[in-house]
Amino acid sequence: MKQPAGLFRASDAGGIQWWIVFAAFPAYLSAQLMRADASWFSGYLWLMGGVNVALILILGRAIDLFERSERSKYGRNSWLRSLVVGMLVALPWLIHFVYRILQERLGWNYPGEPLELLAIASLQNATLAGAIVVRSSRSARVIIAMSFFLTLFSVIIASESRAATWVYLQAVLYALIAIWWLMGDYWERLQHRFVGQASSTRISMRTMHLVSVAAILSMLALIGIWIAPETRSLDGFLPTSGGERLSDPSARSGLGDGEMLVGAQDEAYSFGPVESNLFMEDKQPSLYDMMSELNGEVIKKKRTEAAVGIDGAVAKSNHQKLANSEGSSREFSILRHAPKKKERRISSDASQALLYYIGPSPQRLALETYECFDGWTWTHSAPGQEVSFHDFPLIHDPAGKPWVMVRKAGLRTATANTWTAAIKWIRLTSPRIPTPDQFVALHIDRVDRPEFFAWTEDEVLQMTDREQVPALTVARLTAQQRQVHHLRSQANFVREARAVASDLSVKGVATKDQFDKAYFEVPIASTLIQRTAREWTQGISTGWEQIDAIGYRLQTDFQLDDQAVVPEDAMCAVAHFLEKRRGPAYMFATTAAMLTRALGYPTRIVSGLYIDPKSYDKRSRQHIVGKEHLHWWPQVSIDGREWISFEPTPTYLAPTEKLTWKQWCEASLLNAWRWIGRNIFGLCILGGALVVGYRLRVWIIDRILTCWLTLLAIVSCEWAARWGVRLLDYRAWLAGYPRPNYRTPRQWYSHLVRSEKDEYGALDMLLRSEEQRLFSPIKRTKRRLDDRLRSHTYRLVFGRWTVGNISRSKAILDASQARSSGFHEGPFATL
Amino acid sequence: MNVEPYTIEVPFSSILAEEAIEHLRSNLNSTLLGKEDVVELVIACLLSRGHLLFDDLPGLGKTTLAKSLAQSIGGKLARVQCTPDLLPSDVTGFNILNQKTREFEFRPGPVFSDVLLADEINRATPRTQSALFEAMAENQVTVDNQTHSLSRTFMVIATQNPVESHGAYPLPEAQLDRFAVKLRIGYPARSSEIEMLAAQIGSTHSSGCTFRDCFENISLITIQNHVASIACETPLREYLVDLAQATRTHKAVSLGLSPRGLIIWQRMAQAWAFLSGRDFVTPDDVQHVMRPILELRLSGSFDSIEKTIAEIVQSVPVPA
Repeated sequence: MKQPAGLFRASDAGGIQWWIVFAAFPAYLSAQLMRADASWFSGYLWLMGGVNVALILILGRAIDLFERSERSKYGRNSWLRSLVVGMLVALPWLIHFVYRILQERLGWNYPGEPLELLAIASLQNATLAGAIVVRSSRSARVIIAMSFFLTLFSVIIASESRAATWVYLQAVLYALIAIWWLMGDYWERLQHRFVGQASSTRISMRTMHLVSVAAILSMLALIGIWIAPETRSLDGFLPTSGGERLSDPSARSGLGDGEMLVGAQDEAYSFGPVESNLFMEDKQPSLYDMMSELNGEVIKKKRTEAAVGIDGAVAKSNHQKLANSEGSSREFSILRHAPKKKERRISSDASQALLYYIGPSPQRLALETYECFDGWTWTHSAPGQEVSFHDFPLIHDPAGKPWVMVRKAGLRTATANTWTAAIKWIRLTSPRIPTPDQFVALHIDRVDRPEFFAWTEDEVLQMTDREQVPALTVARLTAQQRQVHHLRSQANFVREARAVASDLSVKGVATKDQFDKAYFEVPIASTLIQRTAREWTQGISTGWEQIDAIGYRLQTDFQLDDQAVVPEDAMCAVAHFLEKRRGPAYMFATTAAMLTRALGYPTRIVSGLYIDPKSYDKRSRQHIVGKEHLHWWPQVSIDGREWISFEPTPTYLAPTEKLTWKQWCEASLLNAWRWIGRNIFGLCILGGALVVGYRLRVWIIDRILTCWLTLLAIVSCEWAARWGVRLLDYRAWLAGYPRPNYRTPRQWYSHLVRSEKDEYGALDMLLRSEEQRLFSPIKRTKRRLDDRLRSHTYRLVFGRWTVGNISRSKAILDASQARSSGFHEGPFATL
Repeated sequence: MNVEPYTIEVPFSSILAEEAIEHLRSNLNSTLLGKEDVVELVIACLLSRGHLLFDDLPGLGKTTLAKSLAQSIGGKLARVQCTPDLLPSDVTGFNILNQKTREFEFRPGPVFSDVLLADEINRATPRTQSALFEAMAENQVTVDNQTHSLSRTFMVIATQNPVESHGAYPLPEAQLDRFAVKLRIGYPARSSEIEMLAAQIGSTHSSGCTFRDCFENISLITIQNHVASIACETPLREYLVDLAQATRTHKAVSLGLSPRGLIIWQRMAQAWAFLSGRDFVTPDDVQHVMRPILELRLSGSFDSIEKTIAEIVQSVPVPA
């Protein structure tokens, strides 16, 4: 076989290495095919691909011409070539961000590509540009590796592609080339061993310091990210992010599309959401039943209160109202029996699931909201008529699927800063549709009649004229991204909310007093609550920061305990909770709502389903949501219409917040700062330990290595000699006198010997033992010399050749060299 | 007439070898005062069966050293003063018609000796220089289609004068490559010169010192054979090849090390390991003998050969 000898040693000064271009271009083409196939704008992608290739060719030629004209002056401009490659790598990202800006400013309808594919586009450009523009021999291997990677990527996602044949053909070709290359390289190594020009360089102390500082800063940044859940999610880069939230085959975990869609056709209960409207008969619990089972039965409190007599008509009206409220479960009492302990039953997750959910988690889906609180019971008693909209606009997405727009947001907005999830009803019996905050649009397959949906009076979407949403129905939900970050800097949004509330007729609230009663009333223990609220938010400026502070305080200082219900004889449930510092989730929500109301924020509480990240089933790639995920949380209105949730309950996580890079950095820094503040004592100890450790690092590491050497010497004196030489190297490095890799230990250390003769003898014996191990056919020293070798090693390592002594020897050597103005070159100085 | 080897090979004995080498070292050091490092390289060159080229000024002891070496190894010394009119037959010998027997007889030239001192070799014409090619490389000469073997310890010590370039014929690369090392003796140290002057007081001959044969108990051939068998393990061989490759790829070097030069380098490293009391070669040995070997062979556009050699060494890590 003809070996490709010299294939990878092409001249640096030569022209284009065409074989590299022939390897890189098919890989570029394959990746371009896959990107175009995955995009809805394939024509545009082909155009941009062609422009990229032309640009690379033109720039490569231009650099050649430039160098030819300037060669006599400057020679080859490798930096210029690197710059061009760097520009081409950055080009797809630049275009993407320009489109983003144009999209926001001008309303263009091009969604761009997922960031994963942008990374592939960069790699494509780097590969082709590297093959055409860069001419160094060392880059050839990198370009080949990148070509293989692009091919591998194309093969992996080619299964559903129309161009799969071409990709597979190319992969086979590459496999053959790889085999040929490996065999050729093997023969080349055997026959003509390539000279290792790259000599390993030792790391300087300065570099080590910089690396250490960078590592500590990175660790702090990681802590900042870790402790702040909202900072963990950036604009989806990972494959699990679902790309740009489109139904995109390139997105590895989009929204139940692809293989999951197909899989669910066979077994409706076991797999992910599917576009189906199967109906099943089952004995399914109602929401009211579930709440009672989860949180215990409601206690009918016997209250003795002062009262005045009223006439019969009014009394009848009030009685009727109360009956209606209880009957329709539109109230929630916080005075309850402790729930029964759960019995261990053999059951599957699937059979107990209320619904399946695919989408970002943690997440909260609202089912009911409560505004009015009388000290014991939350009710939907906000005045006004039931609000129903039957004129939701219906639009079709590019795939032709109908979406009911329940908020005033077009699809352009929906693709720009929204997220999408899918839910599948299993055992949830309610006409209400679980919806997240800032819910925007809903899609149920083939349901293209907006009049099927309406708002309830407590602002939850429901299916009209149905007792429940049919089981196994799949709905896709689109909501705007959670954006709390910008509220933190808006101190006056509460005032705005009040102004809007007073001006507008919000949910039928006719007067400001009624609005205040519904959303601001703290019915009992207001003094205690107001004092507590002020105490917890002391020094924090008005705005979302205060709400965060209350939520944070409740999450950290209080314990979640489902059994710790409020006793029947308690005077005030909230006061009792604040005293005992433990309780079920609805007490956290109630207390948080009371505290925020006391600070002037319009607040209500919401019951619904908490999508726990732990409920994710890896096998079926979905969250299985059961009745144990029922949850309560407060919501604060920011403008009288929009309600933003916050999380006061421990162990429950807030949904991740989509942040810009700037916001992400700010939030990370802020969280890191707070974390440092909370752990200042431990950090001081840690910092002190680090400082001491840093100051004593030489001594500590040296001691550790010395102990290691001592242990080795017990086992084998040759190992001791071997590690003794390494220890000398390490100590010389610490002493600022590192041995270059082209110098032997004998050359480097023998002129450091400056005391008695036996010191040289010890060093000589140590080095001779090591030399014999490395370079002699007889590896073993004579056994009779073992004890001497061991003692010599000890003498050097424990005695004379410490880091400090090496430093001093070096200083003396430097001084003597300076005196003689000589240049010590080891053996070269002898001639 | 073929010159037969005059020594009888005896089994190698390290003690006897050390004695002989120490004796030789002592002889040469007493001749060339204060130049122990040069003497060590001369001995290494002798043990590795190489040829020496002294590139130095006149009067520094080159001829004296050669004579001392010849005497110390108990061999025959021949000297050729190279001039432009020196003919190849003056070096190799020639056939002459014997009037009595009416047959041609071979009259051996100076190459039929143990140590041939070719003084100011760059004054001889290239034709005469080339006459030494076969003798140095193959230890034989061919005259009129008749091959004559040389002494098994045949060694050429050539000198050339770097100052007087007028009328000189620089040695061609092919011939330079046949020498093992190029050495410079240099001026002696002040104390050595004082000692040298003191030794000359009362002496009647300028170079009258005579040395006893150092190799009475063990033959030079035996030691040379032992040196050739000293281990040079794979990492060292790789290191040597990497260094040779580095000389060929260095940007300032137009002519790098030849494979023949590489073999000589390994032999010199073996000899140096022997002189250091080891039976295996280490990277130190390779680097110790590097400079005189490469100085002889590298040519190119470099300003300083020392700097170039240092760059070559630094480009290859030592095996570890």
